[in-house]
Amino acid sequence: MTLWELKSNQKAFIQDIDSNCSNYERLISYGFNKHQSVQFLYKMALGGPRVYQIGDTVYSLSHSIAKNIMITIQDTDLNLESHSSKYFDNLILKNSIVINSQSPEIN
Amino acid sequence: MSEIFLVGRPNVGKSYLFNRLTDSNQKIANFAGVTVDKKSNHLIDSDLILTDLPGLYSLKSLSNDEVITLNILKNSSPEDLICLVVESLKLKSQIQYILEFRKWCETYSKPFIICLNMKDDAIKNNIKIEVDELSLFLKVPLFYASAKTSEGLKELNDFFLKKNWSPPEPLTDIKNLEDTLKKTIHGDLSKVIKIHNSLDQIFLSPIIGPSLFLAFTFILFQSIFSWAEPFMNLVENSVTHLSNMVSPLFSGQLQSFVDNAFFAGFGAFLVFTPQIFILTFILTFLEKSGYMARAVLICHQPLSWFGLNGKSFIPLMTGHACAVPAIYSTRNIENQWVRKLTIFILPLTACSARIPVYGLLIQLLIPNHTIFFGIFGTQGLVFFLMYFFGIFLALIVSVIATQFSTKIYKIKNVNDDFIIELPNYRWPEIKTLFLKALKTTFDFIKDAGPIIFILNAVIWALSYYPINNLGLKGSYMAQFGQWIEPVFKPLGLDWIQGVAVLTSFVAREVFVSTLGLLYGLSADSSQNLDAMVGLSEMQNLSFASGFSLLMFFAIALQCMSTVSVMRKEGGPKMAYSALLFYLVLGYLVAFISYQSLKNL
Repeated sequence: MTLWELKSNQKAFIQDIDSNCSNYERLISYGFNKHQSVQFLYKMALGGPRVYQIGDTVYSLSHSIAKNIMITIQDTDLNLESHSSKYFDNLILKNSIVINSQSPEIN
Repeated sequence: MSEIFLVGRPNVGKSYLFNRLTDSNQKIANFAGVTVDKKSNHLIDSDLILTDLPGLYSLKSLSNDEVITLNILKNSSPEDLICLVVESLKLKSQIQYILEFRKWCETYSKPFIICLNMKDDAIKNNIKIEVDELSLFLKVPLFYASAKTSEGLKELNDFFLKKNWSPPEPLTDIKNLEDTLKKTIHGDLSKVIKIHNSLDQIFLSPIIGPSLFLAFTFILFQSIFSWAEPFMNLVENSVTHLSNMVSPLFSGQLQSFVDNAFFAGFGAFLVFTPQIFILTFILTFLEKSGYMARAVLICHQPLSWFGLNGKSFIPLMTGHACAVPAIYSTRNIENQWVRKLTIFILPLTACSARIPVYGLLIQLLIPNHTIFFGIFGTQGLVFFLMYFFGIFLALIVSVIATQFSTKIYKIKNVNDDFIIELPNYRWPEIKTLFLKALKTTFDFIKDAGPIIFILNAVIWALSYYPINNLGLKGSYMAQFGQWIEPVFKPLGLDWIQGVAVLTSFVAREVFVSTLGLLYGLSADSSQNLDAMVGLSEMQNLSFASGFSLLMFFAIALQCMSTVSVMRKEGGPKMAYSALLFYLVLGYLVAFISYQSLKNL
């Protein structure tokens, strides 16, 4: 299921982001990470972008971007805690990757 | 010389912090990407340089302004300090960003500190941060401050001055990240989010949202014309009063110069400054309140039909104040095609330099009647329509350019991708809005004033000499004007109006002051707008001629500053083709307008 398919006020977790999509780096830098919680807030008129809460920040995404974000529906609080831990594990892992890669983008 | 770089995500208060620490007054707004170029200044009472860099979402640059930041950081010396500014309220969600920057500084041995800004906001929302504990965990000096209230700025400033900076040491306890954040950041943001979401339910609602957006836009333009009037009268009366006091002190040629070149020409330009003040005040309010980002979102889908995207909205809106900063603000648009297209159509937005011209012509052509229970006036409505015409034309040019390029260069779905952060709503401080509007107005006078004064002096000299019995009709200006009259005759303009149009190519606002000067000489008028409107020469301007002038000014690119910035940001080919295109288009539309209306 993709982020675009989320229904109004429904909560979910990011399962994966298509690394081949042109906005992959942008999404990661905005804080769209695996196990991050998301909530669908509003739909704009005329098929425009949709508004989502990612963690404690609100973003608006067009269909072409949201369709590349795979999600898992949040059904229980237990589910929430487990994803939260995995989210931090993911951050720690990323931090160690940054150490090893030494930010090649800036070299 | 060591330098301190303020970096951070967009909209975390870096510019505000910079202004406080350096006593500067640069633009602050509540939407991503206000700082599109670096700004440097000395710290107060110090020779240390503080530099405010454009917002950066990550160390993987994507947009043009992010590239600026990244290149500066890359080339910074090991003695420079990187100060990462983070919004206190969103500290938890920005931890990945902090770790990324921290690691980069550690790897490249760059001295690094963190400033948790907007402390007042965090306290107001019951968010408590154990700063010392977090600082120990991150192994980085951490300052908890508020640029708004100045709390914590002294400690930050003292740290800067001590120059005892060092790169971060390796993190040893990273596995305890989740636990440490739980221990050091207390409070629940859900209440804050709920309040902002309930406001968004109104401002982003499918029907109320766009209606409110249109209402705000209408009020903005109406205020420029109708509500600025008392202030314009005040400036007008002050200039008249000053002229009456100063003029008798001189005689002969000098008196003519003071009366006409200074008070008539320069005074006519000064009268319009209250409109610029009000426009800037309202635009800054919309930016700082967080509404501008919502307006971007509302506009995205409609703008995408014309080949643009929602991020084109901020430059298009800013363009109504001045095209120059608007062109710079296009750096936030990641898509290069959309960016160039936005730059190309920007000269069509009705910038503040057009206000004096529209103001004069609308007063001449449109009788003023009050409508809607006396709140709005017909002249204000026409003023709004002129702004609307500029936007309408910009969209038409945009859609034609997109269609043309899609076929020639096979560009597809250029504007599909859209992502924007919606900042929290904030009630802007009135004093800040007032100071910002005042500064913009004075900058406008400071930048345009000298050009206008010099041109007025030249025009006065050409109109005054050689001294003979024929007066203006025997002047050099008359000879030149009659020589170029055939160019303007098909638009229904006489040689004086033609000369005024020519001088306006330096800057549009020069048109009014040139007319004031030229008619002031020929009709012995005073310098104010009402007097200019009352002049028989202006009264004789037919509706067809006046309308053709309005059309010409709405389209032609008569601003050398804009051309030069377009050249810098979009390349010489774009700048010169835009200059020629809008000149030809403006002339053609003015010609068709006059020829169609002259017999009515």
